Amino acid sequence: MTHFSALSLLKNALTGNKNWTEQWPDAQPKKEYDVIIVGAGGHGLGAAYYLAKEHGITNVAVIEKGWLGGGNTGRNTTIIRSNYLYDESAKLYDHALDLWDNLSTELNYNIMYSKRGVMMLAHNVHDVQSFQRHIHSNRLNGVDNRWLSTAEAKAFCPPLNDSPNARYPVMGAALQMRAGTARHDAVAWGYARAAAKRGVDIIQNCPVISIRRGADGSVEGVETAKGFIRAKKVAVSAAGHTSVIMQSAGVRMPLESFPLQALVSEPIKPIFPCVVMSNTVHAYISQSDKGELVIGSGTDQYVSYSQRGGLPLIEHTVAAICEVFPIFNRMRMLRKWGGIVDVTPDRSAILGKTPVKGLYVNCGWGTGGFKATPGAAHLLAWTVANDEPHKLNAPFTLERFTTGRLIDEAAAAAVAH
Amino acid sequence: MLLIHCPYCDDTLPELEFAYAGEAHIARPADPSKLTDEEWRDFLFIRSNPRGLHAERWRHINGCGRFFNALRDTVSDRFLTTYKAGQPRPDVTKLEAAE
Amino acid sequence: MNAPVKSFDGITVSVQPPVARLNLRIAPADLAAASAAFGLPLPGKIGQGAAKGDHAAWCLGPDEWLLHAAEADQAAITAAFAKARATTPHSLTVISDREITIAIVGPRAQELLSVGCPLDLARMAPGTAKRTLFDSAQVVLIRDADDGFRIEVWRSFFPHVSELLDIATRELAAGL
Ligand SMILES: Cc1cc2nc3c(=O)[nH]c(=O)nc-3n(C[C@H](O)[C@H](O)[C@H](O)COP(=O)(O)OP(=O)(O)OC[C@H]3O[C@@H](n4cnc5c(N)ncnc54)[C@H](O)[C@@H]3O)c2cc1C
Repeated sequence: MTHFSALSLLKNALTGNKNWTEQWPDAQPKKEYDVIIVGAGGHGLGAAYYLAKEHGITNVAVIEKGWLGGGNTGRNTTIIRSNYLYDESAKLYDHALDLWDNLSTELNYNIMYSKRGVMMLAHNVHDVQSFQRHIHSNRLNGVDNRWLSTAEAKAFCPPLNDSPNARYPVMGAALQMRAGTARHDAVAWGYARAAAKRGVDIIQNCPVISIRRGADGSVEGVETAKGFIRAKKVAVSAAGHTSVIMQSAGVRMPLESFPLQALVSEPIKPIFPCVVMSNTVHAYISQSDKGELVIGSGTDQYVSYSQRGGLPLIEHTVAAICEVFPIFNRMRMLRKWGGIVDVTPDRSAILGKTPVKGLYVNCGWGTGGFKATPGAAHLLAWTVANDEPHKLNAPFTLERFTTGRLIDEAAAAAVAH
Repeated sequence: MLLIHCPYCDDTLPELEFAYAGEAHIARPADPSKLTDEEWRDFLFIRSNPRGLHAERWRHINGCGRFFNALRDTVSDRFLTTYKAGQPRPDVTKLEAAE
Repeated sequence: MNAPVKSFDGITVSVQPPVARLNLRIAPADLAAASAAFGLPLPGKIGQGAAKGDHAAWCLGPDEWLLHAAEADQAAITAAFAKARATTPHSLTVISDREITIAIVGPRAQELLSVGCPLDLARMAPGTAKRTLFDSAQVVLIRDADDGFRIEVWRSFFPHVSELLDIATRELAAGL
């Protein structure tokens, strides 16, 4: 695998870019691995990378039913931020932000992390109070977040409709400057390449059909479309499909899967300098480096695996965007798509051990797990390697739904991107 | 847009008039204080979330106002049937034979 | 600025004078008692309407009816139902002031409504009524004739609905 550098770019440019080698080999499964990770999204691939790099565990397979990064990792709107209300969440997401900072260098792959700032609009008195509470709580946790007046919000994002007569008047905003976006595919590709380089097998087009448990109840391996593959440790990181896979191991999950949709406009010249979210009107927007406006919304209301979603939601979202940014009224939308997100009752992730020995789970990231990718991957690797949770993910257990120690970001914010 | 048959209005109407209300046939335990923590968790939080047939509640909130139940395939989003609240989950094999 | 178009050959949109407006909830088995109190046989099927003089009723749900009458009759109606309550439990709520009625009349009325209403309006028969949506605001839609509708909308949503109808009327008038 080539190391990317200015020199290698130049050399390949001079030879007509004909000599680039493949980024990672498409592996066929071996009979047995030390660790199997189900799902080659950013979380699964990243976990394999950290297992190899930080824990010296390289006999690892990441098994993917489709193509790597083809799940929510390649479908999301790439908002990265860490200004969550509760201490546990703020620490977890801030850990991810720390890792984002250096990720391009670490992976020798440009993931295009852009700290352009994420601004969350307050449209009513409740929003104002709730955001200010978030800001105070974040500051106590050393997490960057600050309050902007309406005028400051307008100065930060000129296309914003700041008229007091707007249907959704802007009464101020919370701004996290450290927040922003990254290139989603590059995150999957960068981790895949770096993991493969350390010996990890990435097995695509290979659905995991079920998890096999031995006589003593512990994990023995996975049944796949390419046959049985043995492993004493299996980590499920399959986003919207997690509960189906876990069910095969006899573990029922507090999860429901919903379609989440996004859409992009025709590309235009740079006009939108930051990311803007409005939880109240359920819409958020940024501009990609290609120039498309990237627009997202809340989930569809019903459980579904259709990976499609309904038009009413798109209409609602686009109507809201046109109210908040009338300048975009006449723009044409190019395409829309959906992903299946796994939602927990408290809208916080589950990352840790399960009642089954050797079975680990990383799920419940719902509508907002892209931002967590390096953090979740790092902590999943730690948990699998040590057979116990790291202190940052220790509160995010499955048991919290029995003990009642919820991390209720659901109540803290209407949406959780 | 989904078209949903309201069994009270006996009419098939656009999704916009309806609100989804979660998995159906989850009865509140008669005596919660007798339950173990695990049983209470199951009641509150554990859902079947199947890839396939799902019995679920809907409310015709912008119409007749009634809650009712539906059997829907979560992969194709196709409704197999809808039925009034309080009725048992219909037998799928019979429904499919009738088609 | 052009003056707002509220009416052109195809459509007239107008706010209607107040009426006595009541919401009735009663067990369907007791419908006869309610019909007697109101002085009009109430329809039994969701969507159906009935009218006699200035009394009108529409069935909105399995146990819910919308009643209209002349403003002057409101007190007499509530008194009649209060008397029936001793033997027939029900709830009757005066909602005269909660809603505003907008009439939309003309050959293109159905087309105008389709701007904000998700129903297949071609299937809606004259004389029927339905609770539905008009661009996210809950309304009761009454069809009086092939080319005549009424929208009953909560007062607080009225500006939104009426402004949208205005815009759409102007668009239709302009041939858009
Ligand atoms: C439209 C949309 C917008 C979003 N916007 C944001 C945002 O702005 N910011 C943010 O932080 N988050 C966002 N999210 C959420 C975010 O995308 C996810 O939380 C995150 O990408 C999850 O990563 P993952 O690696 O766990 O899952 P995925 O990338 O979905 O990976 C799981 C993988 O498991 C595979 N799999 C499933 N079943 C099996 C099986 N049986 N066998 C083998 N493989 C299997 C899938 O094919 C998939 O590739 C958004 C999501 C969507 C859908």
